[in-house]
Amino acid sequence: MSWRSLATLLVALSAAALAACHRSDGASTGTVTDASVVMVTPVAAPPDGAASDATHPALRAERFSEAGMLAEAALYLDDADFRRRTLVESLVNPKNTYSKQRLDAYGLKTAGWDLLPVWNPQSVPATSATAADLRAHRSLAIDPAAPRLWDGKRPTTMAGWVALGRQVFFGYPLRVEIFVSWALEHPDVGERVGVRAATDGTYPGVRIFTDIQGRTALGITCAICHASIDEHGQTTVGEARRVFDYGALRNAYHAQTGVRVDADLARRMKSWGPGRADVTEDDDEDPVAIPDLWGLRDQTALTQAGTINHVGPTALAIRQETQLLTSNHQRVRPPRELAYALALYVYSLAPEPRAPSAATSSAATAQSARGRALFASEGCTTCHSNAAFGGPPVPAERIGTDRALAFGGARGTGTYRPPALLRVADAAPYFHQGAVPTLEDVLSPARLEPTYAGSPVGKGAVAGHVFGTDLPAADRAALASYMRTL
Amino acid sequence: MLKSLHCVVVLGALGIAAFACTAGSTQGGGGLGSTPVKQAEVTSPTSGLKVTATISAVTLGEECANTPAAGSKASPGTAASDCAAPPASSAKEDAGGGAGGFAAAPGGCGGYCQSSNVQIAFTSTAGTKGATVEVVSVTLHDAQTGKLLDTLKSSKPQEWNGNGYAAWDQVVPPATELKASYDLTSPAWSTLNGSDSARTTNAYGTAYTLDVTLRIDGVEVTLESVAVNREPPVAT
Repeated sequence: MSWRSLATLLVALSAAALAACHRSDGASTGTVTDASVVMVTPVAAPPDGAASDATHPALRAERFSEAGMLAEAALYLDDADFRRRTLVESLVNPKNTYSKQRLDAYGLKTAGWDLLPVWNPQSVPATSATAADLRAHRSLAIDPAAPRLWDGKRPTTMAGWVALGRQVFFGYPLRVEIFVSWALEHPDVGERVGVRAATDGTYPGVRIFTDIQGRTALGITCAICHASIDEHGQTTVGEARRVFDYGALRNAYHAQTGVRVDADLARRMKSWGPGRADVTEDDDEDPVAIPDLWGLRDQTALTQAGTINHVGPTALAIRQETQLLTSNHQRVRPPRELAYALALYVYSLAPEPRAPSAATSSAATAQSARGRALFASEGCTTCHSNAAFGGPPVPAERIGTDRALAFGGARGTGTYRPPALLRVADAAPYFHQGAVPTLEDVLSPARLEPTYAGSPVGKGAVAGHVFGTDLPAADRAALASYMRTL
Repeated sequence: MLKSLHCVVVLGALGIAAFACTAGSTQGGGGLGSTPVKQAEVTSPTSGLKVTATISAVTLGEECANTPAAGSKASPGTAASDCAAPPASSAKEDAGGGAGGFAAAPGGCGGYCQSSNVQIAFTSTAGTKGATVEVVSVTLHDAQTGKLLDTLKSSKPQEWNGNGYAAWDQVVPPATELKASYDLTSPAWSTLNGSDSARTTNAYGTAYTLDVTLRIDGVEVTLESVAVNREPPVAT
């Protein structure tokens, strides 16, 4: 399908969607409850109050089809106005810092980030040999003849895009990261904070690269958080690295070097724990659990707070492009081909099929079947509604979990996005902030009591998401059993 | 909508500047002299070269110590294990321009510290002689009130060479698109907004603007950045 035919289809589907939306009386323009937070409906309305045409299921399905994604590449890459329109359309709360920063600087053609130089780095994997060099205080080096991450040829097939996206996922440095250098130099620290070598000797998410000053350095990439690695070095791409304790790593660096760190920042980093970090652009204390990347294509919103309306692959590509840009301190921007490739690669990620378990008893099978029925009858599918068992954002007050992220000035929208539940059994601790250790505790009324002591983030009740906690114990067990099959 | 105010500076034979400012897509008052604009166009009084200048991005980094880290333990991938114990005082130290983001850490013991910098994009028309650029001043303002909060020093002019930033002689050649970068001294976060701790005044959530006054072939113009925030501890 050519982009022209897609455009024609978009126009046609937009008209149909608009008509459908106008027939609905469920739209809301939102109410302001905080200086910087706009309360929005689960599917956010555009700023002017008109019904959104981009979230219509049929239109969305077309944009996320293989043909649609291939066709949209040209729009994203070659049409600055399309990028700008998509940015504006995709930012749910234009008042939060994340949105304002992008609205001020992105897609302006003759101003802002469009004027930054394009950086296509040299980057090679950090390996056990790299760690040995660091321990021996030998300088890092990269072959000047090493190829750039991208050969400059725009892919034309989905396989080509995905292959390039994998290169970006593992290879595009987010920034120089002296803390990870410290982890490689000090294996005890590295093991403690989850910076490990894989079975092939590489450190997923750690690269040697030539930085924008022409110096050789270690940097981190997407894989440092979104590729898990177990104690045997087995890697699962797309699964959150829940053993990665970035706060502890940074604190270890400061403690062992004597390099001063702001005391409050040190306290905050200590509080994050494994698999959590505070990445928001504000002073709020709202660390989040590193999410799995499963089922992202099915999600209508991006980030736990639903910061971005996921109207099409361009919405994620802009998210990636600007993330690579801000992570590199706004001094360069990536080639847009790499951002789009990264988006398509992330969409391609899926968990391995579950191996059939011969040990599963008929009783257990029956229990999970009953749990599946309960999942539907008790209303879980109201929110966890899509193919990945995620769904559109829900007003945070309805969920009732910790408010800080949803109402924070940095990325808040007044909502939380139901996470995809694919492989939820492997995704503990739960909730956006990683506060509940087991599926049983998610469903347990004891978790709501002040005497609850099971949370990894501290003693006391973990409020919110009360759904299912009022069920009989046998039903809760059945639900948990079913969720272990997802 | 893009708000770009273009100031065209025309100098007569007697060196008397006349300014003609036009709004891009936004109508607005004209700027005179140091009135900040988003994009400036200067006509060189000596060569007739037209040069445009625009701030493309600003990074407001940490408070870094004064000692440049080039070749020191702050180099990435190098240990800093023999640093002295951290000083007890948290008072602001004199901030110095680091080596492109690798300024010495607070305390001066050689760790990593992300410095501040500003990126400026230049374009020039065809001609026979380049235009010389000089940074006259850099000031930090509250984006909401415009209040002057701090004055920063610039250093280390660099230009993009296709692979990275390299030393720049601050000359914009004719018929060029040039991406420049300057390191900046750090804003005094620990004392901004009064003597209170920066954290209690929401330093990360506060929006700032940066005014950069340039002298281009003797003509002064002031560029204003869009609203920017202090870079968070974990930039993603």
